[in-house]
Amino acid sequence: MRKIASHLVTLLLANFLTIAVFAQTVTISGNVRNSASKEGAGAVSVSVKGTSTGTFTDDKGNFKIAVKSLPVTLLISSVGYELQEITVSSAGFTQVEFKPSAALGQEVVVSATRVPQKIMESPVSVERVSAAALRNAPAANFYDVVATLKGVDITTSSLTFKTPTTRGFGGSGNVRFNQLVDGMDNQAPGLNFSVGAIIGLNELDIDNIELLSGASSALYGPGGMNGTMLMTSKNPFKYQGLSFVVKTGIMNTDKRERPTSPYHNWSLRWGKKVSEKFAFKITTELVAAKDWIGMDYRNFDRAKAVMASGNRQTAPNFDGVNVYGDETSGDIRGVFAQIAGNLPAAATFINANGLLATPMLVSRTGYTEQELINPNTLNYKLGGSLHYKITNNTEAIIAAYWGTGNTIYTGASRYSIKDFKMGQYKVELLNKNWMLRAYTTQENAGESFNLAATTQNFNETWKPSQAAWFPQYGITYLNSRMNGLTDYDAHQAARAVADVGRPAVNSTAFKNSYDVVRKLPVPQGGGLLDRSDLYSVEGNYNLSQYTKQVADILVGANYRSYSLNSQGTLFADKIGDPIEINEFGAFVQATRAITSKLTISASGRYDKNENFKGRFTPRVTAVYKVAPNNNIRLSYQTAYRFPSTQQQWIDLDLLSYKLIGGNKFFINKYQFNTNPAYELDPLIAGNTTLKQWNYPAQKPEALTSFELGYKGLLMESKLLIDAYGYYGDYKDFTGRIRVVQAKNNIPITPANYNSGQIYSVPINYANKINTWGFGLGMDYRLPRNFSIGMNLASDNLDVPQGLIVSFNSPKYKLNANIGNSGFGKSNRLGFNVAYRFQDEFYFEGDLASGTLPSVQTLDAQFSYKLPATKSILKLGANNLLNQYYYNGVGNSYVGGLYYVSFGYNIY
Amino acid sequence: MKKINNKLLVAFSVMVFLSSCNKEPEALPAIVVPPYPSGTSLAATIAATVTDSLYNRIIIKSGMAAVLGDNTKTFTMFVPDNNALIATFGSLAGANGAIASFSATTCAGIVSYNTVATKFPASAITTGFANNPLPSLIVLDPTQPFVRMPIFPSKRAVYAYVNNIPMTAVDQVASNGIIHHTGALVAPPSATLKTIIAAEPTLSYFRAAVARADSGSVGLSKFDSLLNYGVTNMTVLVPNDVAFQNLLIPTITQALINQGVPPATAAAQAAALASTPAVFSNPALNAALPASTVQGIIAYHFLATLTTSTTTPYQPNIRVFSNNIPATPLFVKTLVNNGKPPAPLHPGVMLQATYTGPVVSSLKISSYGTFPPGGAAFSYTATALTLDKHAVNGVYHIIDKVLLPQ
Repeated sequence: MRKIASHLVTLLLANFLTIAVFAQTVTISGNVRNSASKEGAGAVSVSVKGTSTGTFTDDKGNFKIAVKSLPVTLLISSVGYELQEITVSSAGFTQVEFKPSAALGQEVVVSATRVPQKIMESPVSVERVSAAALRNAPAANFYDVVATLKGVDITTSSLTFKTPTTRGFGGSGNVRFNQLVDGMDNQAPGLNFSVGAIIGLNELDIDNIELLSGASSALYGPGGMNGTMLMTSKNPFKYQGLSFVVKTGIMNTDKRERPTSPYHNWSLRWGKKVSEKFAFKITTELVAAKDWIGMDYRNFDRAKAVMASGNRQTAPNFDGVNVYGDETSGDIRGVFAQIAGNLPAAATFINANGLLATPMLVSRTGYTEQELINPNTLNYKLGGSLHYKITNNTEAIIAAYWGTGNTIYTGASRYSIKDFKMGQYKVELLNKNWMLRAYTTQENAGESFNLAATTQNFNETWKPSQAAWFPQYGITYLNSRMNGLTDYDAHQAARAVADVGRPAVNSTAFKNSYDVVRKLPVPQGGGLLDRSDLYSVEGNYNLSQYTKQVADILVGANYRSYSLNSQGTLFADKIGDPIEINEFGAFVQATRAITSKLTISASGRYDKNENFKGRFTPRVTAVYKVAPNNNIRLSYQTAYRFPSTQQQWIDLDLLSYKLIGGNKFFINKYQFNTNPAYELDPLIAGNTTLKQWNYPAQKPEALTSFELGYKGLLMESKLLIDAYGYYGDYKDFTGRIRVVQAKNNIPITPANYNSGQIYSVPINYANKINTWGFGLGMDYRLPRNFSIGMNLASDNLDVPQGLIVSFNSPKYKLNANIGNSGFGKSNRLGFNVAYRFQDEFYFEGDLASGTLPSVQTLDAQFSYKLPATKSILKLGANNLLNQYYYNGVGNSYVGGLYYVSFGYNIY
Repeated sequence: MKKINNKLLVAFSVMVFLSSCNKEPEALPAIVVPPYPSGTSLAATIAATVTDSLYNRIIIKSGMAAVLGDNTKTFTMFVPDNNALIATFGSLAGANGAIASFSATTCAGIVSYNTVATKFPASAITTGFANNPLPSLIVLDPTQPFVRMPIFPSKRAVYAYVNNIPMTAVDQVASNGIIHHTGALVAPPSATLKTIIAAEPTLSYFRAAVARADSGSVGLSKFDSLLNYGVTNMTVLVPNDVAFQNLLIPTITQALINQGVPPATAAAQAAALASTPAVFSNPALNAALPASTVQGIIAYHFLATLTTSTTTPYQPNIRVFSNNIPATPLFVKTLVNNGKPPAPLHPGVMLQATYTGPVVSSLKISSYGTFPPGGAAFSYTATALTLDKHAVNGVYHIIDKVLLPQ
């Protein structure tokens, strides 16, 4: 071990000390501009051919570069332009006319193999969104651009909370899809949702987004079961100057959810190269709007986990999807039985009307999300970084991303994420051959609260259910029936009486009481006091310079430590005694061009979590070049993930049931050994045999995946085709089941399971779960800079009947777009129209399940450039036709957002 | 360029067309609120029935026609037809006069008592002992509105009754309920057992015996309180004064003889002592008539059934009209069963009715004990002299013997 460490240190020193020292005696200055629009081209790479000397143009296209002697050949390159070589013979000003390229597929990606390579040669499916694509996209939020990528599903919890996934298993808190921001895992360590949309990069600061579909654990560690999205920010050495975008729009134009409201999104970035050694950037963004809200008022049968008929008027036990407080349900037969026991006449009446024959469940009167949620969504991001070039090849970076805001998240309930704060801070050393990074994620749930638990407890505060509300309801119901009222009318009368004095939503009494309850932690209130943190160290080394005769070899390792600190409100931790979870992993990847046409790559990764056995995940890929710019790719990948922090340690009392983790700790805590629990769903289904839940050891879930794909340029490189098909086989899939345990010494029997304490516990399904699908994308470059594109993807699931796995992916989804980034006089005009269709599918969620209708949306933007200031005026619309849709049961209904924006120094 | 623009226009139009039809969430079948019935209501049915004209007048006077005509509600009514009311009041003129003299409140009380808020067809009336109490529309305790004055449909052999009144026709269907016709007016009681018994001139010994039995007791454990407790449901077998005298005189005589008094003198003194109800409060007779003995005897006259109560499992909670008693012997528990073991095993009293048509012509009640003591169990039989004296909180039957539990 010591020897290995010694070698590593030697390698690092070798890289640090390999400083190309030479006398720089001539400075070349110049400007690079778009040959068509004549506007300065910023962030263009200007390098001296045959050397490592290079620089980038500033925001106006200007550059300066010191060279040893003249003449030299400069390489001018940037995505979207043709590579240009110019020979500079004198030290005077050089004007470069940079010609936009009509060729597609020229982008370079890193995510597929963790080393830069042309996207055409990627061995696995990867999508890339460039800054230019974001600039020309109609979407107001860059996450909506991700949704247009092939095979991507987005779950929209609210305006600023969007969760992408690929290859199924979507959801607001998707733990099978990594989101990395500048290499940092963006998942909140405690709440387990990725917060990239609310606390991540400023849109102006995004250099590119790469999306790796399918299993990616072999390179990115546990979690990337279904894919990994890497968001990379702009380096201030390359992207300089002050940029800002002021975006103002309107929402709710049809007043369906609330009065027409403004939308503001102001973002700013300032990047400054102070010297050839030092640069910095500052970014900030503010989003202010009235959020979309969930307006699904259908009745959800929580016991059977299906939608049920009826509404608040017609169904006494109504439990509206986006209505809260009505989760509290009780059987008023207890009231009848008590009266019948004392009054024979009442008993005859009760029996004659069958009032004791079957459970008569009624629910408390709830409040709608519209009534409860603070409509103001505010999201503020602040970020920055310091960059210092230790050598030409080694850059040190200190970066921080911090954000706070309000939004709405969908989990087991809807959560009002209020004053949520999260910071990610890193130090990083980047070398062309290696990388070393340490970062931490600091999470603070602020005043976030669970809408259902808060409202249930608020109702209890106002009028206790068992002591007052249900008896009043039951007595009034019975009395009404004794006065001749029908069952329906008696229920209306009973609710009216039981609700007498119910605080009106906007009343002072309501606000004061609700504010108190929402701040109390569950189970007394609905607050989440989560302050969990993540600490991570990782690095990799490209050994190719030493091994290229045999193969290009990349090695890497990482260490993570979670500190779960919820003061017992979310996890089973205690005040001052957080739960620690440590894990580490290491990988190696070897790539070799077997022939000029065939490149094979093999990689393997080993990970160990302190609560689980170590696991090895291999990956083998092959790329076969059938013709220049035409490649067939084949991959065998494995992936797995440790259960999330919540799946291991959550201990959340949701009043109607307890959500607990799979750690053995809970066996003792809830005494499952001495007071066994039984599977609940078979009992609900009418099974007359108790099936004991034995609390088996929790295991990581694993995925084996095969993919065959083709990516090629046809028709003089104007048509880019990307197609893939995949097959995935899940093992030990992690889901949840409900179990019930005896409470108050009343034994559980098939007839009285309702008397017990219900738990939702993690389970590894014994059944194999298979997924398969395909994708096809085509992009065509038309004359005069017009372009059209479309992609079609399909994800499918083979699962045994009755198993709930929350696949949550439409069978088909289609994106189509047409646009032009520059046409008309001086190419100043631009437009883009994007259409998206997703098929109907059955959505399974912890909050509610149901069929999601098919969705079609149309986004469009029209822009006008002001080249002198590199400014863009944009008129855009998301969901242009204001066709409300939702893509998760219980999630917000999303309507049209119309905006105008002015962007300064956008490049 | 023009060609391209045209194509773009077409493409854009297609996109607009396609995306203009997002569906709303899946529509589940709505729960259909059962429609209210239409047709002729109870009030309208009675109003349109010539033979119910007298009762219709009571309804109109009661102010309840609107309620009974409300098709959003459901009722069952026990309606005396004209013949029944004539029989009740002796003549048509008597009935007319009575109705004319009734106040609106009285009429409302009658109609409310004759009405239960559920459909209770004749088929729902069971023959089980004792009857099928149903809550009428009369609320006894406004703070607990489900505490209502009950009415007691029952069935015995081929006859159906409400309280002790035979039904003459059943199951006339109206849109919002059912009408059962009765052979007489089923009038609501207006006083408690205590009040009514207090007004009975032949029950003075019973009242005195109750007072003697209650000595040392408090609250509802006192029979007197129980008899005055409105929200209960009792059946009391009340021996008349002669019955008590027939028991007391020999008993006191024997006690005096046991004290050495000559038999003839003893008999004379006993007759004198037992000539007034004050016999129960005569300190000189405390030994001959211990309070516990009197308490046991009185308890034996309250019919009871087993409940879930752990302190007093047998509660006086049945209202047994004479027609609820079968023609074959029936054993019914009493409050004696609340005593110390083996009291819970006490067989109670034996009841047997004799019917003439729907009417009980004779009711016999036999006690476990006999007088003089030593006879065969249930060989000591009392005859009911007056049946079905109805109170708010129960019914009593006047009998000619004091029943003895042992």
